[in-house]
Amino acid sequence: MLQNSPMHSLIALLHLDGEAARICAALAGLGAAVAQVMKGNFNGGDLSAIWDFENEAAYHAARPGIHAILNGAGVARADTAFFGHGSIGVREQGLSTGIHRTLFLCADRAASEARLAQFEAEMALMPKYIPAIRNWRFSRVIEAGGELPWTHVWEQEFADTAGLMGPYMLHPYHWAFIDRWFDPECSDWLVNPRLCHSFAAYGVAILSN
Amino acid sequence: MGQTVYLIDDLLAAPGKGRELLAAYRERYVPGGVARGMTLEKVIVSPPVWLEEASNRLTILWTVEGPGGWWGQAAQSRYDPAVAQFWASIQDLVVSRRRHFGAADADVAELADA
Repeated sequence: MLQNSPMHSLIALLHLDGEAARICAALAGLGAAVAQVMKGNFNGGDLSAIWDFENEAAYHAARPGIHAILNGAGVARADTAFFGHGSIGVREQGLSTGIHRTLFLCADRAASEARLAQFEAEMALMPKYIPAIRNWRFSRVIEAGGELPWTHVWEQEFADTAGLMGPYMLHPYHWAFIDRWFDPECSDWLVNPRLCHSFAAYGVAILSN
Repeated sequence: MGQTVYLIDDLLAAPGKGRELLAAYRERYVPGGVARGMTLEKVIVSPPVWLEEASNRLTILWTVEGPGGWWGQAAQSRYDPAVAQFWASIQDLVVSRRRHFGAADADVAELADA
């Protein structure tokens, strides 16, 4: 079971149909770190916005204003996940020049608590084997919106996109071990193949601020 | 990254169903696997006699070239409903199944140093 700290975050991945500059400004005006989603994403949206909250009450106070933007003009769709911070690791304090990767996943395949716990434990060990993951946070979702009822958020920071595309994707702990949870061909299959894989350069430290 | 990567299907057939299971696999899974870039290397039947009262184990060995080849086949199979339908269709023919991914021991260090 992932440990939850008092801190919470909301991540919103916005698919836009116009007015990017206005929406960016509006999100930033509500305290979000906002960045354009980079090419190579999968169902990752056009803009990514991240808010930190001291507690759930702070989120609920901010929620109406945020959702007015997410459901407003210029936004075709938004996938969202509000979560208490789960398993966290920092290798590179203050990393602000790298990229932040967000994965929304939905573990909806008859997930017993024991299976979920094994999945979460193995996921949380990825940074041990893959040093390119500089900072990370793996969390259970409290409130989800968008295409699927997202159950987990897996965030990682890399020094650059090469870290994500190279060592992260090519490491056997990933493809030969962890991916069985995501693979309909494997008997351990747990996660809906529809994911949100999004990454962006915020220019500020997200996971070690 | 040209190491040979092995995909190993370990299928424990329902008692008396080993031959039927292998026929279904060859007929309805192998062509798609080949189309996704996989090479079928070997099919091992254990014990090497078709049992009527007990289970045969089928160990089916595929190869692809490197992690890139692995992701290539995965990206195609994951979003192909026919693949999931195949696995669902053989449920009554298997007691259990596992799929493992591996490489030669000589390649472990280089792969894990990705």
